[in-house]
Amino acid sequence: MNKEKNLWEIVKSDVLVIGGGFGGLWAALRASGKNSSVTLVDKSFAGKSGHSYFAGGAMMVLPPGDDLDEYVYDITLGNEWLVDQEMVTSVFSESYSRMKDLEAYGISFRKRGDKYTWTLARGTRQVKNFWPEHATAADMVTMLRKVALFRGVQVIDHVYIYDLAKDEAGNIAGAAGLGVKDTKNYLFHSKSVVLATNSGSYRGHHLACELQGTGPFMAYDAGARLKNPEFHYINIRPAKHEIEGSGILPAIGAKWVNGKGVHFMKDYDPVLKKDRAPVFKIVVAAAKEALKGNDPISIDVESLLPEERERFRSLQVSHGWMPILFEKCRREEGYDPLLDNIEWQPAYEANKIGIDADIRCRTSMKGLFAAGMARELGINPFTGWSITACTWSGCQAGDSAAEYARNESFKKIDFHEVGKSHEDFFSPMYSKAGKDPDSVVNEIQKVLFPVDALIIMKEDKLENALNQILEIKEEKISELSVKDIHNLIKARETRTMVFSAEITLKSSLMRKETRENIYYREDYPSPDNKNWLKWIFVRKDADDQPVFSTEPVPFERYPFKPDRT
Amino acid sequence: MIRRIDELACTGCGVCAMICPGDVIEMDEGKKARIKYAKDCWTCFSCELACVFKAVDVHPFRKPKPMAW
Ligand SMILES: Cc1cc2nc3c(=O)[nH]c(=O)nc-3n(C[C@H](O)[C@H](O)[C@H](O)COP(=O)(O)OP(=O)(O)OC[C@H]3O[C@@H](n4cnc5c(N)ncnc54)[C@H](O)[C@@H]3O)c2cc1C
Ligand code: SF4
Ligand code: SF4
Repeated sequence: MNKEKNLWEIVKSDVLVIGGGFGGLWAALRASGKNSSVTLVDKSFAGKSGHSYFAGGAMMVLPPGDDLDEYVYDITLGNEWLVDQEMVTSVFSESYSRMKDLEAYGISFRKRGDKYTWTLARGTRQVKNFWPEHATAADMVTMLRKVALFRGVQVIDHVYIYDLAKDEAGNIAGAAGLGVKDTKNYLFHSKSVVLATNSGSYRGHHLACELQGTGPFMAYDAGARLKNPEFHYINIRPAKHEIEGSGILPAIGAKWVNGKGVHFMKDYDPVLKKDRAPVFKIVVAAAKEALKGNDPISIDVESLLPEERERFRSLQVSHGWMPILFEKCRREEGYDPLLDNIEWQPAYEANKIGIDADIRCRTSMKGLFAAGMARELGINPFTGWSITACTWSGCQAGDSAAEYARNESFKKIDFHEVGKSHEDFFSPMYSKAGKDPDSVVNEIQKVLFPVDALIIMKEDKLENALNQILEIKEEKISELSVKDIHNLIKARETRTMVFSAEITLKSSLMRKETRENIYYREDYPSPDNKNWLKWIFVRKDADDQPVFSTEPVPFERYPFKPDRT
Repeated sequence: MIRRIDELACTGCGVCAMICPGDVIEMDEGKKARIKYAKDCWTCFSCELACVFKAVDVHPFRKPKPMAW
């Protein structure tokens, strides 16, 4: 036992928070305000990694005087009824106070005179987005990190968490990690754990795809239930580089064009929004155009009104990395992304799989709480919803984890189990002949990235993709081989990718319907309210196999009810 | 993708390696920043923005990946 303990650098605190984006930082702040000792650990640098640091900073906020019900209705409709309305109500009820907290920490939001300015959130009729001065969330998370440190949160950067640790009764009691820079073995011993690692992706075409948030899969391994495995966030962005705020361009006059120069959105959303349609519709339309051979897809910025173009420049291309990108595109590649039309590409952006949790962000595992996108937070990725919802869940999870810790004592860690997961995590270091993770990731990408895999979904294609993923799982995943810590982490992330692909494909085969703004099955082109006002869940059975179940959305508890015909 | 760290301009302050989300940059024995895992670069520009000595150069284009069609 002591020998086992000696392997580890042990860090003890009442509450452990894993992940330092909006979800994790808010959780740590709130827990620290409740007399708990709090440790926050991040595989990179908390507050400067993950999606939060790179986000545009738009936040949905319900200001005093606006009608909460209208906001809940809009978000419910945008999620085509498949969202927890109690959660949405709670998110908006607290949203104004959180913006005020941020102001108290020194973040300013855009105002004209003494009145806030706001934009209407795309895809809603009423919901307002408030913007920080520089249209970037980077200042917010950087500030939250400072406040967390000031409040006594112990922040440990550069430690990759690969497994949750349990006590001898099977409840969550910490986590095991590896120092990315110092290569030490860390064991975090705590009374409660908040998982806030975000969810995963497949290292795809956009910045957001690079983060492989493995938290939901650690929770699954520990026995927790995951929700919404069939949903994923698809988006369309420039094919070769990012443009922050690119979603705004159609709103200010840019038009989608195919390879033949046709403004194709008028054929897909003729009545209402055309080029300004919700992003899901644009992605599906662009994918269909490409399958018809009408690629490449681009956005016609030449038709932007000059004053709108300059406004975009002054608001978006004025801070952070955008001026560098624009300058280098101009100098080295010979174009200006706001003056010259460039190719855009639809792509899978991120999983929507999240840990299932109650309104206080408690999971089904004792001692485990979930925050940020690692918790299920609905499906539609409206601009402004994610930061507000991640903030809300961070606060709930932080409060709940501190409350739980107050009533618990430190339990003995099950070192036998921790030792087994340590051995399993390190196994690619001892395998000499296996595949390297990059080549396996490339194979996964080849299966999932064609637009007719996970964007335009259809039974035979989904089955075909699933078979290929299962083949990769059988033949390559147990045989990964690496030489250093950096690639060891990639090996674990690759394994999670394969698992995530498996459950996404299996559950997408289950949901036989289309919901126009969140889910597209070409072979079932209509919504099926009779059979599919349901959520899909997945958990692990005794033989380590994923078991899927469905539950009807509990409309009897909710203010808004759909027509079921 | 990150393409260059100017060895002469780099003072070895370590900030770029500390904040890089992709664990791409390493501080070498001689206390200079070195690109170690370029293919894992997120093309996020954080390193270039953080380096007050202007030693880092990131190209806007991301690493090519399997395409959508
Ligand atoms: C370019 C871009 C623009 C966006 N713009 C907006 C916007 O304007 N408004 C809006 O509402 N939303 C926006 N979003 C979405 C929003 O930013 C995210 O959904 C939200 O920030 C997620 O926060 P999070 O705390 O769940 O995760 P993240 O901020 O991703 O943080 C997760 C953290 O966990 C760490 N981590 C992951 N795995 C591990 C592990 N195994 N061990 C240790 N640490 C780990 C990561 O390093 C990371 O720091 C945008 C997203 C992107 C990418
Ligand atoms: S930030 Fe600049 S000076 Fe500092 S280590 Fe990196 S390259 Fe060198
Ligand atoms: S661009 Fe971002 S990911 Fe790439 S090396 Fe610089 S900090 Fe790291």
